[in-house]
Parts: sequence; structure tokens; C-alpha cells
Amino acid sequence: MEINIKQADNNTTIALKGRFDFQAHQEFRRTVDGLLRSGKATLMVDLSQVDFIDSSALGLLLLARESCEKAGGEVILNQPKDYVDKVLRLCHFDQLFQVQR
Amino acid sequence: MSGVSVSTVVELKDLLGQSFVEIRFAISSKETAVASAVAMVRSAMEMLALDNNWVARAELSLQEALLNAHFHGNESDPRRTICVGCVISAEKIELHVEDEGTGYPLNRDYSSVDTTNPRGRGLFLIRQLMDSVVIDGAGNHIVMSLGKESNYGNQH
Repeated sequence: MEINIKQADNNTTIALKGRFDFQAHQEFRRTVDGLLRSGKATLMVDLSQVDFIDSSALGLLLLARESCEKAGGEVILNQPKDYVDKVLRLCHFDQLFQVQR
Repeated sequence: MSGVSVSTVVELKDLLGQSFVEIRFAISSKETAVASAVAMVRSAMEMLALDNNWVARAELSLQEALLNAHFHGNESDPRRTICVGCVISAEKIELHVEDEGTGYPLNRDYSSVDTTNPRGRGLFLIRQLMDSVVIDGAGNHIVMSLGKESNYGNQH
């Protein structure tokens, strides 16, 4: 999976590409932790180029949400593809996260 | 492929002349082998030109079952193996995953999920994505099947 960080105005976006699954664990955690340490409390996760998501990745999003909320912010999920969106809905993530479609 | 020992890959035709692929293999209990196994089965499904959405559901279920087998069944011990069997046709996908552990706790309710817990979502997802999920008596062998016309969330 590729991870790119984009800054625009005051918004920080983590743009993911490819398979977001157990193999992305360390890199995603490191990215989120680094952004939180640099004072970013609200993170947009761009899912528009994610083709596959598994339960490990869902767990990573929940951990990121918890960390961002402790810092006074939130995690916003952006533009999931149809299949990824179905998995998010199955796990009720649309009730836990702001999902921009 | 890393850690994957393939014993059988056959393309057969049933009595009606429809193609199906049967694959049986064992992997060592390692994350890299899980990734290789999922890629191999996905390739087989793509070879049969199955619908993308259908493939994605089976692929995610297989990955979740293999990760459960690796982390929970085999306790991440690379000396242990996971046996995988797949029968794939244009009408039905059937997946078998067996580990060397003591099995899923069968008295747990897998039909719902603790929404905010970062863990414990694998079997819940499998039940949502597949038509039929059977865990055998010992609890370390899961059989999942998915028909062509199924909807999400049949396993409530």
C-alpha cells in the first residue's frame, strides 16, 4: 500500500492507495503517530484509491480515531469506493466516523 | 510463492460441462504466506472471470479466516501450517481453512460486533459476506461458501 500525506490550508489528508490490510499496520500507525506528534488532531483518510480493506485496517482506523479524539480532533473518511464503503457500513463505521462520499 | 506448498490445482468440468477449479495447498503460519495464499486464490477466481464484487467478498473472507488461523489458531507459530482448500466455479465459491489450534470458541456470539473494539471483527465479517459458514466440531476448520446471487448479511 502507498501512503501519501497532503497538506492544504489547515487540513491534513492521509491518502492511501492499494490494499489497506494487515500488511499496512506498521506504516499506517507510524504515519498517524507522526502527524499527532506534529500537532495535527484532525486527519482526513482518503480512501478513494483503496481497492481492498480488511478487519485489521478497520482496527487501525478505530485506533486512529481514539488517538485523534484524545488530541481533540477526529478522523474523517473520504470517498471510499463502493466495495470498501459496503464493508464500512457492515461494520457500522458510518455511525462512528464522518464519511464523506 | 513464499511459504506456500501447493498440492493440487486442477481445472475440472462437472456433469453439466461447467468449469470449476479445485485448489488444495498448505502454508506455513506466516503473514507473508497468508498474503501469497490470498493472491493465489484471487488469481484463480480472476482466471474464471468471476464478478469483481463476488471475488472481493470471497477474497476478504479467505483473508480473515487465514489471519484468524495464523494469529489465533496457530498462535503465530511459523512451524505450524494452515491447510487451504478452494472449489471455485461460476456458480459457487467454497473455501476451507484449517489450522493446528484448539479452535474458535464456539459459545461466543459472532453475529454481532462490538463496534468500537479494534479487534474481533474477522468472523463477524465472514458471516456478513458469505452465504454459509460452518465451523467443525473441533473448531479449527472453517468452511465458507458463497453463491452467485447472494446478498450481504445472510448469516445473521
